[in-house]
Amino acid sequence: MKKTFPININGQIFYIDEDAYTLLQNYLKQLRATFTGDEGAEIVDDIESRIHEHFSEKLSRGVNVITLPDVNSVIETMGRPEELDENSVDENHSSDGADTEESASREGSMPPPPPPADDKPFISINLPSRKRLFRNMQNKVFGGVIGGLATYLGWNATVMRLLLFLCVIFTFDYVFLWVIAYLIAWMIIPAAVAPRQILEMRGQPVNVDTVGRTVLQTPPPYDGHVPVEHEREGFFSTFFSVLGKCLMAFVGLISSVVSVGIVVLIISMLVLLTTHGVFDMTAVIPETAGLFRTSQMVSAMTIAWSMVFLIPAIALVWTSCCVVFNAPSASRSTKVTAIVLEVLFIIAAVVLTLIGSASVEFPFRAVTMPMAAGMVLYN
Amino acid sequence: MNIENLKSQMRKGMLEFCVLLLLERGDAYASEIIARMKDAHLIVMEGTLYPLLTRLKNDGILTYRWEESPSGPPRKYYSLTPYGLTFLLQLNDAWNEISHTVNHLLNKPTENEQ
Repeated sequence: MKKTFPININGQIFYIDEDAYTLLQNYLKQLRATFTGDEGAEIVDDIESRIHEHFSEKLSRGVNVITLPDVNSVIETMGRPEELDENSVDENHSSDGADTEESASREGSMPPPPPPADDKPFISINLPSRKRLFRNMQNKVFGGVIGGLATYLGWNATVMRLLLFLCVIFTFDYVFLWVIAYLIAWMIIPAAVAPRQILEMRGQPVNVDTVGRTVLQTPPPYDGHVPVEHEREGFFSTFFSVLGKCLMAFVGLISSVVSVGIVVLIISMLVLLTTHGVFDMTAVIPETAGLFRTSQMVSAMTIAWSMVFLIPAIALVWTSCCVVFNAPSASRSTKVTAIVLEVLFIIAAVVLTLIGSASVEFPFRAVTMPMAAGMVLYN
Repeated sequence: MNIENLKSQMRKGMLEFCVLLLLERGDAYASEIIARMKDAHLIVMEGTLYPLLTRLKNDGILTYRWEESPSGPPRKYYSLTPYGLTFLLQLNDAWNEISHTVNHLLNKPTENEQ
């Protein structure tokens, strides 16, 4: 049983299987990459209408749905982009010296008619086969960051995890830095979901062949935890994955407690704002009163600190809305902006606090870090 | 020197000439041209013809018009331009020359040419 949907080629509707559709899309995409410019667009359009002819011929023979073998045979008939490309290279080689005479004799009649074999209708573009960093969704403990990094660097993911684990253990005082770095990486690095992304992650060339193969190999997204690579087996990988799940549960608990705390804090701030008419932090935490020289300083610092709390609070509310109402989650740029703003406000608040009270370390700092972590995690 | 490579290069060299010859006999749309070229074993992959047609069109050798088809979407009918015709005549001369030379060599292989 396969998912099928209608597509429109040249104004006619065809029903096509999902995998066949993906392959066809990739084929056309690669043709577009091979044949560039206006001329290229025309070529690809013509090829597309020829594919349409092939399909309608198939349908006239009583077939209802275009399937993967159909698309494969059409690609076979039309030629793979790189084959069409090679032809152009061959043509170029064959015309090195022999053509110059002929082209000279033809000159003058038209705006420079290039020698027939020399001008290349298709500029050969090697599709990027260089590796790109993705989160490896087939080999992950939390978000696949280390798995992706290992794939990118060509390491064994378990070795990499062990090494990083040791690093974290030896620098345990700064464990929150590791956590934040990981969470930021989780948010910023895209997950390898599409076949093309998986190929790019592994550094394999992206062409119809490999994409087709990956289309068939890749379990559909949200099939989730199907282990594809062998290295997930074995003691350490199991250990890491169990540890990962425990940690996730723990962090989830902490962050929910913290988020409740934030909500209470924000509500109390709002109450203060309405009752006192001043948004003054020194009223919330009496110990900080008397540390600051000027009232402007106090209000600037208060604003900075409330922003520090407000951003994660908004993120939390947003995320819970997303979960409850199944709304689309924030885009990556929004997340990045939020993180950058959060970091800036933390810095501003800390600096203002330190300036305001040169000797006293601000007690909020210890609270902010897990909160930021909580926000990131909820996204 | 790869024999298959050489053979395919010989065919490729003839490809444009044959397309023009075909269009001289009458206008045609891409699928017709493909069918005939495939019959003559001049092309293996259909995709090779489209870049060629577009290139010939952009060089002013061919032109096309849209024509309704009895079934399906309108078709692109290609035809020779006047410049294309003179171009074809020159190619024809070149072909006669080549085929004459080759036939000459094939028929009298033992005579000394120098």
